[in-house]
This record gives sequence, structure tokens and C-alpha cells, in this order.
Amino acid sequence: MCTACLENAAADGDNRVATQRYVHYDSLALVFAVAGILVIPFSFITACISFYFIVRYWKKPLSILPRKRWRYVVAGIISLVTLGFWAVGFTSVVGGFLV
Amino acid sequence: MEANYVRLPGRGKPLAISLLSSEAQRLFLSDDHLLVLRQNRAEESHKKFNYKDIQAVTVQSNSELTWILSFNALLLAFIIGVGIITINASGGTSPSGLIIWGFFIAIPLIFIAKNLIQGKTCSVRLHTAVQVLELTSLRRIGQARSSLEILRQRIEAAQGQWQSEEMTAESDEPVEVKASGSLPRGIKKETVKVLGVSNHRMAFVGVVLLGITNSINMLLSNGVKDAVDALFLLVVIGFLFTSVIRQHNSTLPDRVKSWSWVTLVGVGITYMMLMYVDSFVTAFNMDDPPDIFEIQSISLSGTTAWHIGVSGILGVTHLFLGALGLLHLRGYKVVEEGVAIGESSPGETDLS
Repeated sequence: MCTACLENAAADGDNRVATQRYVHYDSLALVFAVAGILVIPFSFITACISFYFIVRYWKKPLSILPRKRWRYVVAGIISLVTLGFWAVGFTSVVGGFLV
Repeated sequence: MEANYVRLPGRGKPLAISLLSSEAQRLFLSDDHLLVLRQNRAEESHKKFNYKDIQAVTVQSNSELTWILSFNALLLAFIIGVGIITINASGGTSPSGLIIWGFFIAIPLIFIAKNLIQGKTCSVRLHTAVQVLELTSLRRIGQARSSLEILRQRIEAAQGQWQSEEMTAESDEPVEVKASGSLPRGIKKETVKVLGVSNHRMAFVGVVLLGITNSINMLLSNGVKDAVDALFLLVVIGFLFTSVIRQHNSTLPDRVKSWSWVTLVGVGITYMMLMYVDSFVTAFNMDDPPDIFEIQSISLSGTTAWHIGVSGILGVTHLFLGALGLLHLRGYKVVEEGVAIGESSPGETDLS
């Protein structure tokens, strides 16, 4: 590989040849999703952050080694359930005011 | 395209940072390179070393195992001591209490057994033309040997095998050495001392005697004996202190040097912590000052129970430290012109 090719590859964050550092966004998404269960008052925020990681970084390589995306799936399910509970709670409170 | 990686056994980090960081290192073999992967919970980074670029892999034994075992042994002594104090203070214990105590005793025991089974510790370094990297995932000598054997085969496949005839021919070639008369800048001349074991032996025997006298304190407590013990403690600490000062740059084995430091720190810490605790408990429970010449009888409640517990902890700890120190000294002899002069070594000799 020429020097210019390496520089171009390094500039491209998704390039597996040049990248030497990977952030495990799937683990982060899972941590935020589970943290929401433990700290319920903040669960809406943590679920949103978790969902952001899932949507934003789904296609980004996670490791130089093969790594399955099951953490994204589990984090997504937990986040959806959490957001669902918030939606139900919100509608019942707003509905109570309206009635 | 993803390379096909084979994982080498081992996953680890240096002992010094193991409590502060979750980062661990793992090694993977590819067809043409070694992948060193550093991984924590949130991210990973890696370095690739082509087999052709690896110049050497060195394995050096270290004293990490001694530190791990010492820590677990002290923890074990502490848990046993706390248990004895609690049983004495409460005048007995229930089966459930014994089960909980046994559980806490089992934890350091399991760690000690695990570390003894895993064997001696070492540090492995990978050398290339431009850098030296410590392979922290290989921390046991046995594990390092088996892993490096696999790595050696890959390196030989890439670099070719060095024939023994070539090595002999290379080593037989005359090498021109130019003497400069002075050491390169930045390199200090080190003096290595040939050190006998007498000072260390006196120190460790003293620590064993401290353990015995503290064990006797469990049965009888006397003010005069306590004063003599305190003087004796000062003498022993003096011996330990001179031992650790003199052993620097000496021929003594590393395990003796390390254990001398562990013993000095261990004796100091146990005395400081436990005597303070003992003093506080005594002060809180004291109605009137006791006669220092009076031999106190054993009572399983109140102040005396604390005395028994504290003396027990000190006794067990010091016996352990001293006895293991004496064991470490076994087999070490100073040899001068083929004659073992051992313990009658004349202090220090300059080898520089």
C-alpha cells in the first residue's frame, strides 16, 4: 500500500485495513439500556441514548475480529420496552388531565 | 476481507494496573502476522506484527506470584483473626456463623490454590527493530512456553530455520572489540555485593520469635513481658531494616529480597493497625488502671478477649512471615573459588 492510500484509508473511519481502534457501540448501547432499568427516573434518557447508538452505528465495524450484533438486538428490545412503558404512562397521565 | 485468526491462550494485564483498569490483552495468530489485541468493555485497539519483523521474544521470571500469595496469606490471617475475635467476644458461634466464616476463609484459600496450580509468573516481551512490547496476556511460565512454541513455528515458517552449524560458524568468527576505557554516557557503574545470609537469618528468626511471644500473649498477659516484647520488636525491625538496605544490588535471590520487604512492611502494618485497635478497645473498657506485674487470667469477654484476638493475629502473621523467610533462605550459599562459605560470608565483597 502506498502512503497516500494509507492516509486516505485512515481518514475513512470505516476502513478495516487502517483502523487500529474500535469503539464497542453495541456494548455501550446495552449498558445504557440496562442502566435505565436500574435508574428508572432516567430510563427515558438512557433508552433514547441506547437507541441512538443502535441506529447511528449499526453498520460500523465493531472489531477486527468477527463480532455478532446480538448486543444491539438485546439493547434495542430493552429500549423499546422502556420507551413503551414511558409512552403508556405519558398517555394515561395526559388522558387523566383531559378527562 | 477478515483474516482467519487463531486465539492463543491467556488474557491478562499487569498486576499493578489490574485493580485500576478493565483493559486486558489477548493474542491471535494469523497466517502472516501476530495480532495483539487490547480490549476493555467499551473499546479495543490492536497492533499487528508480521512474523518476518519479530526479532526476539524474551521470557523473564518475576516475583508477582510471591506478592499475590503474600497478599492472600495476609488476608487469610486477617479473616481468621477477626473470626477468633468475634467468637471470643460473643462467647460462641452458631452453625450459620461458622458457615459464613468458612466461606470468607475459602476465598483467599481458593486464590492461593489457583495461583499455585498456575505456576510461576513471568513477563514476556516481544522485540522488533523499532519497539519492545510486553505481552501481558502471557503471565505464567508454563502458559508462555506452550504459546511461544506455537508462535515459534509460525516465525520459523516465515523467516526460515537457523541451522545449528550456522550458529557455530557465526560464534567462532573472531569479533573485534574496541575498548573505550569509559562507560557510555547515561550508564552508571553498578557494584554487585556478595552478601551472606546471616543478617537476614537473624531478622527472620527474630520475626518467628515475635510470633511465638505474641502467641504466648494469648494465654497470659504481663506488663513486664509486654515491655520486653516492645524492645525485642525494635531490635527485630532494626535487623529487617538493615537487611533491606544491604540487599540492594546484592547476589541474594530476588525472592529473598522481595520477602524481606514484605516482612518489614507486614510487621510494621500489623503492629500499627492491631495495636491501635487494641489500645482503643482497652481505653474504652478500662475502669481502673491494672497492675502491670499482675498476670491476668483469660476471660472470653470484654477487653481480654480483644487481647487474645489481637495477639492471635500478630502471632499467626509473624510466624508465617518469619518461617517463609527462613524457607526462602534455604539453599542459598555464597561460593568463593569453589568453596561454599555460606553463612560465614564476610559481609560484602566488591565484584565490580
